[in-house]
Amino acid sequence: MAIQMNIGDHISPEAGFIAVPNKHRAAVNWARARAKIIVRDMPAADRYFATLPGGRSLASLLGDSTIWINFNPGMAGFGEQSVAHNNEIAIGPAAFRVGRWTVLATLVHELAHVDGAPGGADRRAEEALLRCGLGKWSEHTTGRDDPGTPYDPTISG
Amino acid sequence: MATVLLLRKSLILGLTMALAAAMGCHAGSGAGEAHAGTVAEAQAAKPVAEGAANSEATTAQASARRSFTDAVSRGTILRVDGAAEATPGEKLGGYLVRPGTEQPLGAEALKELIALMRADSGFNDSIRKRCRPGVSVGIRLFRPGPNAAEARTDLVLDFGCNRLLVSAEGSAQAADTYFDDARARFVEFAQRALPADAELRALR
Repeated sequence: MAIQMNIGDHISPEAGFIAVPNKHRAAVNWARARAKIIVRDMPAADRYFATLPGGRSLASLLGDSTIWINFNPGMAGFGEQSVAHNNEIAIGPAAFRVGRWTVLATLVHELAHVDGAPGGADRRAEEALLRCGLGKWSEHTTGRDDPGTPYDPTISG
Repeated sequence: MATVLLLRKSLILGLTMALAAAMGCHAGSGAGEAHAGTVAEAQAAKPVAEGAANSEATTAQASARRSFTDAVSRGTILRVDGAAEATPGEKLGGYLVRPGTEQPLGAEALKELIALMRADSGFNDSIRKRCRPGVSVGIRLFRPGPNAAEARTDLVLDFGCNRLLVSAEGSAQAADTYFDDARARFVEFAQRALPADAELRALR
């Protein structure tokens, strides 16, 4: 079994997390499939996830059917992860508006939190995107965001 | 493959709903509610320790937020911008300080801020967001410390993410919370504290 998308068959214990609407399901499915390609083609991704406090690989997270991808129509931002219910994540309308690569980036970021990456001023969750080939190292070293990649070096937490 | 799985999942969902209807369940007892029972059962079966730990985590955030406002004697407010770790310049809570924007907080403004920080409602301590920083202000709160030195706590109010970041000098304790439900009050506070700032005035 793999990480699950809430299509109305799951009631999230996190307030505001609901089923992914029909029109966004293809993007979530694409992001899940693409994340598996990253695992296959970029061993650095698994290695990076294993350094996070939870110590799990990206492959292990993608294969975990107790992790749920929800939708939160009211959120400010691209995605959320529940601190109180660690395996509940949500993707917001803004991510879907930008496009499927941002949905994928948000999924990877939130999975890093599921694996224990801290919030606050910590940058480890967003850095996971770099290790998954979703950003350029020049963005990381210069601090300048390239709008052509989903990674944003100014995002913390 | 993913499409096939989705179709299978939808089919199972449809069959569950049809079965529920055939069994004469009352209106609204679709798959969601059928699963609600399962979810509730699963939650009930969760170890008590997990729930207690989660509750402790969010309570710790709230108490950290409040503790930083104890015995504050003065404060200043300034403009900050979201920045990368590599961005050079003075930082406050990871945000880049806009030089020349720092102003003292008046007694009334300080009182208003402390009341906002200590409020029981309006904060969501139970989530983390992936969010681009927006228009932001930094606040420095000072309190009398040992040997006549002042202890400082730094706050960032990021109105792009509705986020409050709190960090204290020399303390591992910090708070990272979201004020979506109290946004209007924080916007009014920032607009009153820095009335000449056009970006803050444009916030709604």
